[in-house]
Amino acid sequence: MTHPTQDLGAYLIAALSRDEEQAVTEHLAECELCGALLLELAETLPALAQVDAAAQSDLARRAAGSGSDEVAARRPAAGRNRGSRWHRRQTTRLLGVLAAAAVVLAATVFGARALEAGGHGGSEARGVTPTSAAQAGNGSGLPSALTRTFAYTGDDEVSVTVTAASYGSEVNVHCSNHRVSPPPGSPANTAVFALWIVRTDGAVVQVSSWPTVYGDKLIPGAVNFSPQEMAKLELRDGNGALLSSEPA
Amino acid sequence: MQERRGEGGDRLDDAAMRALAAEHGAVLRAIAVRLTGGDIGRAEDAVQEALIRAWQHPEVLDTSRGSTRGWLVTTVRRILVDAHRAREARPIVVTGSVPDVADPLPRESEVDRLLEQTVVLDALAALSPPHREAIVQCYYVGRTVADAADHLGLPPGTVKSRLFYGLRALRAALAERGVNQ
Repeated sequence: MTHPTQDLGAYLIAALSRDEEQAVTEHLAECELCGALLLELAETLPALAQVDAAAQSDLARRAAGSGSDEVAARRPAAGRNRGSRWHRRQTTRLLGVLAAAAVVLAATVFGARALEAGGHGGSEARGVTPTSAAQAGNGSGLPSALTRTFAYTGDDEVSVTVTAASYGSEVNVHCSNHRVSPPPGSPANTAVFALWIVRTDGAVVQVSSWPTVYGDKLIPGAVNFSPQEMAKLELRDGNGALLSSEPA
Repeated sequence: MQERRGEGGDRLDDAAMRALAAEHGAVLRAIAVRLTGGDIGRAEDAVQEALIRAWQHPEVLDTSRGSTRGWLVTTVRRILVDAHRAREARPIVVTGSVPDVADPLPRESEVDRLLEQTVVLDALAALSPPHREAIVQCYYVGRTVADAADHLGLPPGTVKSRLFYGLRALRAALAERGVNQ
């Protein structure tokens, strides 16, 4: 099945042609993956609706007026964010107690398995370990294209692909789990994972977050800085606790 | 976007209502079915209710086509969440891979609204300029992908891709600022 993934944003805000729109609607009727991606995109709509008419025309004028200059001039302030605010890791919005309980449960279930597998040492391992190191960085930042895999010692595997793009970097997370449904007795989809990037200037940015995946899922993401500006990829749980990082 | 006012001025007439349903109904249904975990009856009810609310508040339609749809999708979610809260005995089964529906932000006072707007503008400012521009052109200005591609001198596929990744990046930027959930 070909997924119209990149049409989903335009679909949501009514920017596709009739025919394209109809094709996406038909696809959504039978595709869980695209349906879930669409709902995630839809989470931005209440926020977009907060912008009043004056601010909207300001945005439009700025975009139109100086396609590169003024907007580019704003970019360092907005994108390079070295302020302490960015260092504060705002994780309170995540699912709180429930997620914490689920993560503990996951760590308990999967931690035992890690020991069985003779993995890597003890309960501090928290069930996650980086398994494949890709090309070494050249002293500053990550290579312009790389894939790193965080192998969850339970059932999940998380791999992150970073690719340089004209606007910065594409950061796609691929999760796979040999289970297609929750193990008996465990709550479905309650553990939350998040990918963070530590930049070479010390700023920390959350790129994406997702609940436990059963089967396969691609979680696309993007940031406005290059792979060379990334010092480290971090896999964290829903409470912001570090599970694993690459490089370690 | 075209005027859709009825003769009375404040409410949409039947033809305008049908046009609104024809323009957004199928997409709203696809999203609502997803949000209810496949309950077509409840999805349909929520879509009808959202269209009626639009009919009662035609001022929300005096915006771009993109933001009209945004308002309708947000309203469908709001209706489903409220229905869910009203009868907790039969919870809505939200599709497994999505944490929860986000409520539209509360509008308790003008001050609150401006604070929220500041956060949203800050999140938009954190996007790369190409991502931000695609969102502004298609959502706020109300261009279609084809129009925006023409206006920006880009292939349509690039505009679509920027909208998709731009909205993804916006979602992450909002999350970092504590917005949603």
